Amino acid sequence: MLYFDNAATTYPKPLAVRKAVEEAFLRYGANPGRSGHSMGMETSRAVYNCREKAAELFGISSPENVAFTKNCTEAINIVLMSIGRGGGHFIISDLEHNSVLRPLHELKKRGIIDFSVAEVFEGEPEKTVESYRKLIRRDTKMLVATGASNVFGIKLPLEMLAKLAHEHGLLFMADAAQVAGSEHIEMDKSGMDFLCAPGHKGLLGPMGTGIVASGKPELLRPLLFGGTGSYSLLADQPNEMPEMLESGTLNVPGICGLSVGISKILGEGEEHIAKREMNLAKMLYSEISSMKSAFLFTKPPEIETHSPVISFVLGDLTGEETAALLSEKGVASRGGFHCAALAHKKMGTENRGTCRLSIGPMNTFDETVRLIKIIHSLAKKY
Amino acid sequence: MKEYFFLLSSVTSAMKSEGILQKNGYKAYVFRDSSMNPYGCGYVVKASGDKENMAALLKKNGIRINEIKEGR
Repeated sequence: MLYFDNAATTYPKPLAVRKAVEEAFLRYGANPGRSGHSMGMETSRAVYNCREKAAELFGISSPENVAFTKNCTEAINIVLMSIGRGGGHFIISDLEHNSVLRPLHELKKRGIIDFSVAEVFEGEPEKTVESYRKLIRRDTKMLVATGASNVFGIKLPLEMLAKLAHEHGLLFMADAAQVAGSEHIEMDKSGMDFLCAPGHKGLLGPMGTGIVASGKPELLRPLLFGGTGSYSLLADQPNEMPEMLESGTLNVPGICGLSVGISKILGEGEEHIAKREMNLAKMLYSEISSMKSAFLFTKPPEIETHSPVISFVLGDLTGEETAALLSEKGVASRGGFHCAALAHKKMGTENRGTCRLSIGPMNTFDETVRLIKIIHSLAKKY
Repeated sequence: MKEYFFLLSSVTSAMKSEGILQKNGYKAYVFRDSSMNPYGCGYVVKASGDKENMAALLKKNGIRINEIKEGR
C-alpha cells in the first residue's frame, strides 16, 4: 500500500516507536503515579521523561505544564471548555477543524459564549492577522487558530496571531494538529498560551495520545474528575498540573511510543522534516496540476505558507469517489469532508468534498513517483 | 550532611524536584510515602544538603512543597 493519509495519522510508525510500545508492556507495566514499588516508579519516570521531551520540543520551560490526553480533540476541549465556561467572545479561522468548531458551537448553543469566524488569506499572513483584528470586540477572550488546514494545507501565522492576542490582552490557543513535528514552535518565547497536539500524527506516536501544553495552566479546568494518585484523602480535584487534567490511568504504552517519536523529531529537527515533506508535496502538486482532468484547490505549496497536504478531485468525481479509485490501486488517501465543515464552505467544496493526499515523515521519493504514475493513469480516464 | 524529606503531592513534581536537585549537585531521590503526607498519597524527595538552599531552588522552579521533614 502507498500510504498518503498522514494528516489523519502517520503510518508506518518508526520501528523504534513500535519497539518502545512493546517494551512498555514488559518494563513499564505498572500504573504510574500510583504505587511506590520499583516498576511503579520506573513507569512514572518513563512518563515524566516524555513530558520533558515534549516540553523541550515545544519550547516550554516547565514539563509539568504538559498534560497527556487521548488525542488533540480532548486537548482542545480542555482549553475551550475551561476558557469558555465564563462566557465571552472567541475568534476562530475559517479553516478550523470540527474539533474547534463543535465545542464552541456547543457553548454558543448553551448561551454561554459567542464566536466569530475570521477569513484566512492563503499565503498572505498579514491579511489573515488583520481579519482577526477586525473581529476583536470588547468581550473577546481568545483567538484560536489551526497551524494549517487539515484539508488544504494552508498555514496560519501562529506567532503573529499570538502577538495580536497579547497586544489586546487576549488569550491565544494553537491547534497544532497538522504542524506539530514539522514546524518549530517556541511556546514560551512566542507567548502562545495554549497548544494542543495529537501524539499520533507528526509526533510519530501511537494513536490514543495527545498533548495539551499550557503557558497559563491556572486557567485550565479538567474535563474528567477522579483519581490522580495525589491528595487522595480530599474530595476536591487537585489543582496541580499535570495531574489535575489526567484523572484515571494514563496510556503508558502510547506515551512510551510517543516519547521515542518526539526523540526522533528532536534529533532530526522539524525544519529538516518539513523540507523533505515539502519537496515531495511540490513534486506531487506540480504533476497533478499538469493533468487536464485533475482539479486542485490551492496555490502551489511553499514551506512558509503550506503544509504538505494536497486536495484535488478528478473530472466530475467527488472527493470520496476519487479516493475510492485510488484505494483500488492501493493508495491510501482520504476523501470526503475531513471533519472540516468551515474549510469546505470557504473553498466551495461543500458539495463534492475533496480527495486529500497528505505526506508524512515516512513517505519516500519512490512512493511519490509511484503515486504520481497511478494518478496519471486514472486521470486519463476522466 | 543532613538529610531532608521534601513532601510533594504528585509524582510529576517529585520527579521534577529530583532532577533539579541532582543537576545542582545535591544527592536526591524520589520514593512514595503516603503516610508522611497529611492529604494522603504523596511522594517524597529525600535529599542531602542545605535545607534553605534546596527549598529555595525548588520554589524558584515552581515546585509546591507541602512540608520539609528533617532526617537523620
